[in-house]
Amino acid sequence: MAYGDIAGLIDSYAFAAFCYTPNISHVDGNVYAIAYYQPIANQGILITLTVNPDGTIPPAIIDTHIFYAGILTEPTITKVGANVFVIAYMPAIGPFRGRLDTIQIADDGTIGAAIDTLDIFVAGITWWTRRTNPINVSGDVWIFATQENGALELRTISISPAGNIGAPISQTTMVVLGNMEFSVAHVQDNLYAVIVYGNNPLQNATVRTFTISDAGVISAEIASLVLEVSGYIQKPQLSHIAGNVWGAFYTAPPGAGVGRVRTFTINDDGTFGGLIDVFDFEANPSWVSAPIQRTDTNLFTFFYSAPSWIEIHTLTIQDDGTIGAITSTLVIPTIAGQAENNIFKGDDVYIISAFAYPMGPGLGIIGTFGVSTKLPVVSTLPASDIVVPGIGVSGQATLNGQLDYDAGEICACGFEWGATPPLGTTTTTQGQNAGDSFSEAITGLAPGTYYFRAFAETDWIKVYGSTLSFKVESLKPSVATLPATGVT
Amino acid sequence: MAQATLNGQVVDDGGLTCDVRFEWGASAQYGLKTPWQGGFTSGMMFSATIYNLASGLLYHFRAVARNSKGISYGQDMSFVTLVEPGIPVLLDDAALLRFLEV
Repeated sequence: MAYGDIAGLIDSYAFAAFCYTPNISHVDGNVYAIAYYQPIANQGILITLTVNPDGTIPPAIIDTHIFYAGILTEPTITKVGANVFVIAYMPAIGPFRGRLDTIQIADDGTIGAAIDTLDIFVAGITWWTRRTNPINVSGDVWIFATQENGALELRTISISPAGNIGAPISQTTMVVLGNMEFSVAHVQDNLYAVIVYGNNPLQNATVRTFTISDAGVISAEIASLVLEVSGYIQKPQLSHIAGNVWGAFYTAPPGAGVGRVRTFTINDDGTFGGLIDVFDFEANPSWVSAPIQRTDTNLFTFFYSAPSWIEIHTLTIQDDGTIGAITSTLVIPTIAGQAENNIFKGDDVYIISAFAYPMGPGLGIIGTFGVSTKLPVVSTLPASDIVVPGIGVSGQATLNGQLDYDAGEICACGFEWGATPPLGTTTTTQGQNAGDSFSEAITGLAPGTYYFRAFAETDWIKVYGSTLSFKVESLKPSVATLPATGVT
Repeated sequence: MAQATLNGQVVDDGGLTCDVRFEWGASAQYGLKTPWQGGFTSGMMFSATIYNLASGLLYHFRAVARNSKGISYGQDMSFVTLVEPGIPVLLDDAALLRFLEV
């Protein structure tokens, strides 16, 4: 298994015959909760089940709770306290088009009674949350993003860890017309970003920044960055890459018909530094549809749905926003498919919740898979054959290293060395496999102390051994007396 | 008064730049030293001129080099200054012998 390889489906379990947009949350230990909409009965369902650390899934539901969801609502379930969760959804009837229910779920998966409920009136169609889970701002303050009556509404609401819901604290409307796709991300401190697109009329797909105070007051929009001009994008997701660099994952305009990743910078003050890189990973996917999972420092796992299968990809994005190629792909055949959420669970095990779409048969499934994040391991060994410089002899040394683990790939191994860190000189490299030792002679050394470290590099990653030093000794000089001249 | 230019060469700097000078005198115990000269590396020649030498006398000298690792001495060499015409030179037997050996 090479770094970034997807190990394949470990296990799967069909938890529902009719399912729409399952959203999954961790309860405790091996217990997970899934909230979804059941089209045939027009109701929301919350279930709990077990996923073992090794990725096996016992085929049994622990407990079930029904909530009165409206048609095609896309519920989310989010942990707000030790054993308290909030379900956000669109209720089936009544003038209240957005509803929050808090509910208790015990560590063993037993679902308790509802704790509190908040209805929010919206005089129009509300697609409550559109799969965007609320984010905790500070203390009891949570930010919810909703699509309401042709605008994007950002609303802060107080929810205590015990599940008591307060009245909305603050609300900011961002003009986005039509049916929206969006998601919200916490950038840093009080800075947040939302990626959003509206389809009526065809609008620019943008990332917009705003702040939320610790008390929950939402600011007006600070700045926006256009990702696609008049671009019809679907299922946009934001993911932090490193520093001020962010990535947006989405399905690009149908004309282009690709899954697209763009990187860009968000400055500390909420302004944008511009687009950095773009990568189109697949022609004509149905849609990118699950949150991006940071799998390792520069490795990201994400999902998309194709007409009759689900694909999981791993992709590298460097700290500077440079996007690499797809490193690995896992195809899960379905009648039709849509992945909705994934959760990091253990060392290498991930969970995907998905459903077959459209409705019939609308099978709800969860599956587990692994992603190898084992990096090559290289050791720096002491330098040898150190030659002291002298007449006609250059100072020399042989740098030594060993590739202890190759992560399934031939690694380009070499050394970085210099008189002082950072080590400014790089030797040529040699292709090595696990267990191979390698050496490189360096010449032209003056007496002094030198530092070096071995490295191993694959197409995706570069790892280093520890930094060692060696000393090129000096000697006392040798001098010749020559005959005197000019003697008078 | 006579003078002479003493010469030397850094054979090997030991990997470090060297300081050089000469030790000289009327015997192989020398007793006099030229000032240190800095910045010498392998192969470089160096010299120093000494003045006010007595006429018709034998002088010894040797090159000296040092770096942070130590100090080294070249082999002993000697020369005899010329005798100025009309100036009597007193030589004892030993001096005469040394003169004849040069």
